[in-house]
Amino acid sequence: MKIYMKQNFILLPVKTTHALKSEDKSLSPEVKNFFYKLSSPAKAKRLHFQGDNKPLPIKVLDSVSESGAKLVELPLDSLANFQLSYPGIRLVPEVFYKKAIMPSLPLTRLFSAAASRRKTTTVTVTNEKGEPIADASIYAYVDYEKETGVDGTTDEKGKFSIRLSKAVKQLEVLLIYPPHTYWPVCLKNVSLDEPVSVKVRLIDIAYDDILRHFYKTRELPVIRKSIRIGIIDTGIGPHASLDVEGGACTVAGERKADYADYDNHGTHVAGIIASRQDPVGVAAGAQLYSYRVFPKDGGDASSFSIIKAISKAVEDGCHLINLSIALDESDEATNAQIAEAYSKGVVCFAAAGNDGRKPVSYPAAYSLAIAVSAIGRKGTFPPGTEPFVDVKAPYGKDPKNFIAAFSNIGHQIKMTAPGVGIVSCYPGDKFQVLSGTSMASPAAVGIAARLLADEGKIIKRAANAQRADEMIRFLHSKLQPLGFGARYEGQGMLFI
Amino acid sequence: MANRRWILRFLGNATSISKAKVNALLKGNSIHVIDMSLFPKLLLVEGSKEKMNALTSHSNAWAYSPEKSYKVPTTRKKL
Repeated sequence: MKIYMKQNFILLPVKTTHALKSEDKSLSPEVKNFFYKLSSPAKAKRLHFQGDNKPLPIKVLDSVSESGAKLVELPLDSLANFQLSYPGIRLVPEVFYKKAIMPSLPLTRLFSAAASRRKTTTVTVTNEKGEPIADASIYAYVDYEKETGVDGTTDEKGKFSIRLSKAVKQLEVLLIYPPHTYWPVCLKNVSLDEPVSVKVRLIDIAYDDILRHFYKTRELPVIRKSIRIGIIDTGIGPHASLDVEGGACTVAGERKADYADYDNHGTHVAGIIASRQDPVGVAAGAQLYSYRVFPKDGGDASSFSIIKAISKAVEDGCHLINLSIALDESDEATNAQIAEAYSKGVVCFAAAGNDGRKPVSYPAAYSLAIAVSAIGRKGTFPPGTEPFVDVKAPYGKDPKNFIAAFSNIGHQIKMTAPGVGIVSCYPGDKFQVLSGTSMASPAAVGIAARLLADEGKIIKRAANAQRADEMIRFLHSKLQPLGFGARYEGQGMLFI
Repeated sequence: MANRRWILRFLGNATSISKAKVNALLKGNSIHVIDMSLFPKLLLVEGSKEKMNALTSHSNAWAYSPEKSYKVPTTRKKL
């Protein structure tokens, strides 16, 4: 017997709390019509999903007024299908407040040993020519699931000393992340009795990673410059394969015109979308706008910087925005700005987060954002490389496909996209392999841009909520489920 | 009560307010303006929660929420 889990949600229009008498002129007739139908049980029965005649399994439990917010019951498995069929509606879970009580203190994990009871094992990292790899990040796990072990970086000789209790005979997992140019390494069951020598593998930029397995980017035509994508991140480039049309730095106290990348994350994200040369991006030809919200010194991004960046991207005429950022709690101000962007015809895609099957992070979990989980595929990364730790059930209809172990999941997921072992750009004309929902979100944005670039009727219409609604409905029709179930993949993956 | 940073959102008719009036209003409530680049719709300010409550309790035109910090999501497990 199949059990369908249900939950109560409050349905609201994009910006207001009333649909029928709304002063918001950008509210689409479809949204008004939807709220109108929900106010009558007979009419509500005639609502159905986009693309088929299945009735909408929605039960209206309460209503603020005929035209006001509705409390409804919806099966969780149909949430993504509902939101993609009826875009422009905020879906807020009904919550119940508890009395404020003191939470229990978190446990502190201790992992140390007295000097007399420690031993040192040296790890040496070199390339295939035997040259040392400096500044490689080392993660030496005694217990991978419990996250116990030691970490650090290699010195100029490519060496790092692992100091652990003599009682520890081996590492369960040893992960090595060269800063760029080489594949990250995964070794399992590493003995600590002998020095460890590791040769890292050069990245072949023509390698068929999972992105190029699903989307033959080298064979795809360059898309029209009619579509504009805002990347809100650590900045972009410089990189010879990336053309940045404009942007801004919105970090307080930093120069507005400085939207280059002082990290590497934003450049990798941009390359997935629009790299012109190998590894070719999924939407090469799209107009890229860079909004740097992370400070130069590597600190966190303020929500105010993000709000300013969303506002600027809308002002600059972006159609789509990528947000490969994550927070484990709702952020009212950023949510409101995503709603504001939506009302001006701009759709925000966001990374689901990388906490390992935890609830979807914000802003992805916000109902007007497109939350993207990460899919991986066996055989699309070389043996002994880091993506092996990301392989985990469930597997899809094709058993080589899996939802990445790191990917957050939940009923806010609207689609999945490639995010394991992705080859892309690194500032200074270099290349890097990264995994994450941060990579899946731009993959989805890029394919969405490619699909929408030919839909002039949609992207050239007035920039209002109706345009955003139409973009989502159109993309919904291009999603194909891969057999993981809605909590893992939403309505599936975009195909060209 | 400790000061912290807040995002102040103006929900009213944005054409009807002046920078000078808003500055005076905030100053009168001991709220310090940090960023006015999105004026009149949004401001980044610093003040205590009590002062923010006092500012917004008399008018539905203002709403505030705390400034938050986002990270670049990493797949690397913590140690």
